[in-house]
Amino acid sequence: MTLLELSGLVVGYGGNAVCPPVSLTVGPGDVVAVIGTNGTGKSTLLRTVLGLQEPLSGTVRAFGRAVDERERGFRTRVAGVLDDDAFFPGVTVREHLVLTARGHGVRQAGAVTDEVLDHMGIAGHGGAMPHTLSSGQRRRFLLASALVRPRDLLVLDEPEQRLDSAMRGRLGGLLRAEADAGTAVLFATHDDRLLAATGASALHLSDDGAELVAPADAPGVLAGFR
Amino acid sequence: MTRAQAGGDTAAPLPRPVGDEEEQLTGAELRRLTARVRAHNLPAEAGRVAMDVGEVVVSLALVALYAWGFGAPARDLLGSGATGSGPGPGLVQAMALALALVAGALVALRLGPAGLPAAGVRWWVPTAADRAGLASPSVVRTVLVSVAAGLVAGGAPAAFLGVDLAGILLDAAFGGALGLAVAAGAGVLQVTGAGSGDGAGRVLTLLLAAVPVAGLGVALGAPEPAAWVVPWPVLVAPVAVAGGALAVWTTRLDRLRAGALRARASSAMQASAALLSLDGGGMSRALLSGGPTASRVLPWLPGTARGPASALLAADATLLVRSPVALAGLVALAATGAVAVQVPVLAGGIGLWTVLAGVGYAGAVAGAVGPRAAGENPRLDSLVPWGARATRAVRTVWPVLTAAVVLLAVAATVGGGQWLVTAAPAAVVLGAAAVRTAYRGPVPWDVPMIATPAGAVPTGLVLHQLKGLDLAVLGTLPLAWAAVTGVATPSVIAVQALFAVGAVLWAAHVKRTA
Repeated sequence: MTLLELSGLVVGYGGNAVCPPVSLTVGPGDVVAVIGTNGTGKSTLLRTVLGLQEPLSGTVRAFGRAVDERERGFRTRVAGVLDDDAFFPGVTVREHLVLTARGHGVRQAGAVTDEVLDHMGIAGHGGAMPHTLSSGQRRRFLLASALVRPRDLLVLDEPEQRLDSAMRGRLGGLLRAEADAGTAVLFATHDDRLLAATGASALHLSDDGAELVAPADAPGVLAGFR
Repeated sequence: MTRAQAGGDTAAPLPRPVGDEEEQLTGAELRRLTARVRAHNLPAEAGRVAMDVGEVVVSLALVALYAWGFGAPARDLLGSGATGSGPGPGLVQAMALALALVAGALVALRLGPAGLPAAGVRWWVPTAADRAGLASPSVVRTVLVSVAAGLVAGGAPAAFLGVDLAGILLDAAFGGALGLAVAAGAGVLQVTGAGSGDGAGRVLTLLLAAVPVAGLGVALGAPEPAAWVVPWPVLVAPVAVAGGALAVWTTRLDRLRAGALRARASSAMQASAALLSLDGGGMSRALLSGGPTASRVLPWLPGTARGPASALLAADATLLVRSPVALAGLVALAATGAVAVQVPVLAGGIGLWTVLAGVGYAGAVAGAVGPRAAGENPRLDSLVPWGARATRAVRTVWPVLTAAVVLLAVAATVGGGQWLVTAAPAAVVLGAAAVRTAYRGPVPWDVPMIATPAGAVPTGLVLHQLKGLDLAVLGTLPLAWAAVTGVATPSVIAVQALFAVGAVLWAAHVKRTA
């Protein structure tokens, strides 16, 4: 079964492509890392997969339909974390996550949130206001927002950013566990250890084109241009 | 490296949340729940809302009284029949309303008209909750604001120009209906995705220039139109259009795109911050900047740089020609100046100087796209192997030329050439003044306020706003002399040329820091 299918996808801004045409198929339990040097369009590709911007050409299909994030069915199955943090003033970390879970109709949203907070190592900060968190804690909090809700496809943009090495290690296991539970994971990264920990195959974006690299070779390719 | 070596096998299993239809919150419920949580954590102070409403009402009343007070001299000015020729009150009414509608449409497209706060876009939009319920308060706000702005844009000019009360009410209703039609039309573009490209913005930018040009054509070619009152049957058309557009907009709110909501939330946040800090540059950036779209106009222009001076000139020229709003603004200013000098009292003497200095300075500011960018980002000037003074002096070139273009257009319309020779060096002064404005930096809020009977005056803000304008006024005094006397003697021209040199030196002056 194919969850996500990119076919000749070209992404960019104002008619200017920022990466080569990409074709990729992702199924349940697959983990694919998008790698490439700065400016090769990794984040733009993920934004397009999430339906936040239109492709310049080619197609993006999720669950057998053209991606349209306005469809409720798409939003209930796709969780994404990009590098954008904006928070409701006067609403705590835990309350943000509970609201997210409630917005998806999750039963026992509070209990689920507490479990995820504990897993992300910020259980002690649930009552804090988001702006009081350190940048690394804020990153954990944002990642938690994708874990308190249902998901069949998880899209993360450089999830390792600002995390300490211990949490990076746990993140690798977490993504692997997600895949083992049947979630398709697509993430951009510059971290070869995270890449190795997830056992991901890699979509390598470069000026020469987009190439799918086998899991065994992916960390080496990433370390080569990092 | 293996997965075990990378430390990936240590994580405990995570919960696998499942969505339940019965537990699913609607957009309105999610929004209200967030508001309740926030209110619980941050209880509102008693009477705070009443005080805020009171302040707004008092402020609006003061604005209305000031506007009414200015109405009498405006009527006298437009009615003064010294030469028997003028734009006529009806034209002023029409231009004011048309410009307000175009400006409103530009703002509506940029900041909404339906939108969510940045936090709402981040936390609400990705959920399964419906977007109509999330965005509906912003629709109500937009409808109220657009109708109110339209009432003012339609009614205020009529009040200024001495129309009777019934006429004022009809004109205000006409403005309100048009305001609603514009906002709802922008809403339809938003939900259909037609407003997401550059097309709608380009059309509005063209209209921004076209309205004053059309006004100029009417002023020159048609008899003075009298102040008008819209017959009530005419109201039916804009009301019907507004109602239809509103129906389409509100029933399709679930078609709002997350990407567009993110962009609008970002613009709204920038605009709010600029408004709070009274940062005019930040406000124009938030409302008028074109986003990440790359312009390809005159692609060869940057390549003409051959040294520091030509690099600065090429960079500033590129920014200017790729800024449609700046170019449209120049056309609009030239046409507005040409219309203004049709009023007899503004066709000569100190009135003519006021128009020339005013639109010339505004033209220079519109042309100072490069200096503004450099003023906001000092790193740009540090890229050039020159001192700050020389860099700023070179950057006066394009503002000088744009000021000269506007002055020339006004001169051609008024037909008087006596003061034209003085106007050329005056354009240099105005260009230098625009550069001084561009480099004025942030508002110095640490300057003590002055207590006056009318309340505290924020001295730092006043000084900040005057920076540049001071040079424009003082530096064009020889032009004022020429305009008042109607004779540009060689000595007046020489003095204006000296003022121009002094103005460039003043604008290029940089305070040494320890």
